[in-house]
Amino acid sequence: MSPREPAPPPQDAGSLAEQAAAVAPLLEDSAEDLYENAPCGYLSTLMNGTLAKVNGTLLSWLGYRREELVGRRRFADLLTIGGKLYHETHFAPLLQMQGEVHGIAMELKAADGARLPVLVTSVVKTDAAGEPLLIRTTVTDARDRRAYEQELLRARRAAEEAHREAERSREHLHEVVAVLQRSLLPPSLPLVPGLETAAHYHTASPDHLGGDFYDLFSLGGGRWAFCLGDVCGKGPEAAAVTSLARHTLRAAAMNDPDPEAVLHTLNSVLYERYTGDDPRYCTVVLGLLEAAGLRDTGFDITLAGGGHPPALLLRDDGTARYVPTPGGVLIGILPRSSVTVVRTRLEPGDTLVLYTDGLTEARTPAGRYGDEQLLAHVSALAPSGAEPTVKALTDLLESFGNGLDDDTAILALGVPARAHENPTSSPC
Amino acid sequence: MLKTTTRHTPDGPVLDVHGDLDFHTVPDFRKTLEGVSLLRGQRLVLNLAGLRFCDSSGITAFLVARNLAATAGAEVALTAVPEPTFRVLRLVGLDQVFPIEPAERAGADSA
Amino acid sequence: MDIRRRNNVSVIGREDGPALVLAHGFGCDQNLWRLVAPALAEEFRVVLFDYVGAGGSDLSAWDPERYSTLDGYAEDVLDVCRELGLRDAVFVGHSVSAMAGVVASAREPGRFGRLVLLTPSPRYIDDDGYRGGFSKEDIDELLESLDANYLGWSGVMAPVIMGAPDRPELGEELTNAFCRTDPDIARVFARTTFLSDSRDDLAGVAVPTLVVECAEDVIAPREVGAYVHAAIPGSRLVTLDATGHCPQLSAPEATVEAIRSFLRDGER
Repeated sequence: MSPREPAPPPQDAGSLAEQAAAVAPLLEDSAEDLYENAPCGYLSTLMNGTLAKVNGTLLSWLGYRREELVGRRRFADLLTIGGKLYHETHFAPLLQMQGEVHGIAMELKAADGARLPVLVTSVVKTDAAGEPLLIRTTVTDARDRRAYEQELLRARRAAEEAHREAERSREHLHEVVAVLQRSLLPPSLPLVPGLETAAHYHTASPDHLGGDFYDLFSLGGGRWAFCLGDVCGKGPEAAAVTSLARHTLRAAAMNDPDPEAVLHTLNSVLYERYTGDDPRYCTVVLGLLEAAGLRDTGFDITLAGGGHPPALLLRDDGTARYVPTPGGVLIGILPRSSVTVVRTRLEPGDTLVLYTDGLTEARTPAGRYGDEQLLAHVSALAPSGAEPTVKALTDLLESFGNGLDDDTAILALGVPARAHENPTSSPC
Repeated sequence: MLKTTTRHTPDGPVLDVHGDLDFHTVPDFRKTLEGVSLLRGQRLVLNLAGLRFCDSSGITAFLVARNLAATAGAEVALTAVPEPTFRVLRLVGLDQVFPIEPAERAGADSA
Repeated sequence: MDIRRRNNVSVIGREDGPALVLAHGFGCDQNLWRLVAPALAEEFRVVLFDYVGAGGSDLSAWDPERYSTLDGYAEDVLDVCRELGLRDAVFVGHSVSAMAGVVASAREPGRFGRLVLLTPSPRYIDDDGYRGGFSKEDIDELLESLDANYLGWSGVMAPVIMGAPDRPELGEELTNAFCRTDPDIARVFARTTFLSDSRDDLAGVAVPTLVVECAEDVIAPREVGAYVHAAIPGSRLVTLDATGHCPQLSAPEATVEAIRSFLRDGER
């Protein structure tokens, strides 16, 4: 405001009118001008879509003269063909059902064929009786917005594709892991006359190869070897060691079945292969089975352990105890292994259970599961055959839920109980 | 969580271990071990008084320390081993591999 | 499976009246019949439903494979008929649903005694010697329009929308609800609708059939109406003085009258 002009006195009724008159030329001089030159397109159609009125802004956007459109064309004629389909299947029905439709993205076709992305809002105007008279429509330029939305859409599609690709890769990885995992275990346990066997293997994650292993194989001459172990670490490196360990044990046992000699061989192989700042070692229990007599009389067992949790023995008399192999050291960390050998006997009704520490290290609300609880659990099971014992321990593992975060292997060897000891099992 | 501090004594460095030795913390612990300077004939003491949890990754870390020390012509001892970890060490036979010292000795060194 | 819930089935009108099944087309849901259903209910037992994927249907039952062919939609129609034990009913199908009804009628003869095909088209894309009115590129444009307009759809809303199209407390939230569809589902339905060709099925229609077309319909132009009429033996063609593809909304009285008069003539 110029300093020479007197400032209008405040709170003067007359001055408000003066102010309004002063700014009027700066605002719209008429409603008609506002309609014609508004910063958005206006159009009105009859209920059948015939254009009845179009404002100057929209005409200039589209490059049409008024007489080319009014009374001659329908609103849908201004749309692309795909847009017409959308108009007929969505826009028009919604407008008829709701009386209004807001902010629908469409493309208008200009006279020169160019396409103009717009947002369309339509309202049905009704007469006093509620009968529809005409459709009023505003059209807003949405070029920038559409470009932005298409960018978002493209990003979304790329993300979806990347997600699908990742899912495919993951599935492929799971397949590879499953195939390799199977190669670390016997496809099925061999039949040993007079012995029942059962095993369970739990991998902590389908993404990772487990480092636990077990095996049971014939040495000929009525002798069998079995083993169960746990290689340190996880993933492909651990799996490579697992494979090496399992095959070394087999080959060494074929050569000289003495469990102590077998573990010495495995120790030398691991120690020489993995040293320095990448130590690879394993814990293992290896055993030798020899039929004690001609038939149904059980097996003599020689057990050797290298730093592995003690085996469990469930007796036919309903008791259970650990079979410790004290003094055994992790296999692969010392140039000369320290192995302890114990001997025991598997009588009819007895079951020997080997397991890895995933079982005893499982997290429970009361802390780690631990060897005392495990002993209590299997004591309650005894006497129990190989199959039901593994089933019971599998159920136990499942009960840990997320508390079970390590791989776990279980192998059970049992001699069937003598039938005559249980009179109810007699057929007649 | 794991925190380690290194002290030096006439017999060699003492590494005080506070917290957990597990899959997540062991990579850093191994770097710390690699940074410890050991002279021939020295003894590296791992003071486990502050060790809260140790799984098989931790056991591997002890073996890494042992291998590093052996390369330098030094040895490794464990001290103030908490009972749960001691049971694991005994289970895997490492009580025969590592000299394990009672807690008092580490306390005397730090005085 | 609970078909009534899956397909959001509702039955209104005269319980002792002849059964009349109203099947909506691509785009919206059974609300499209809201202007004609009350009048038809005075005379008929009117069955309304949503195809799986549309309106208040159970979206968890949607299967991209099943609903990628017209057979899947025809199966929905037959599932509803079996559930209600309908025989000799009148089928009224709008747009693509008209062809789903033709397929369903051939698959289980006896279910439908009469067909009313409202603005049908057996093929939307031009072919040698056939004018459907559209090209493959036009359909791609439609898919773009679907992508650009979610009509208020959001994954968060899905459980609310499903099974509750008329909950008044949702009020403002339900703007566009009649046509709101999961974008992925809408794309599949659009492709099935506009890319299928069921011209060969028309000759097999064995029941009295009424073809209803609009005087001006960009989706199903009059030459398509004439084609359908000529291809279905003995069919009747009625041209309504209406604009657009949805005469049940733009000309509800005329639509009801066309259906009534066709069914009345059949009684004689």
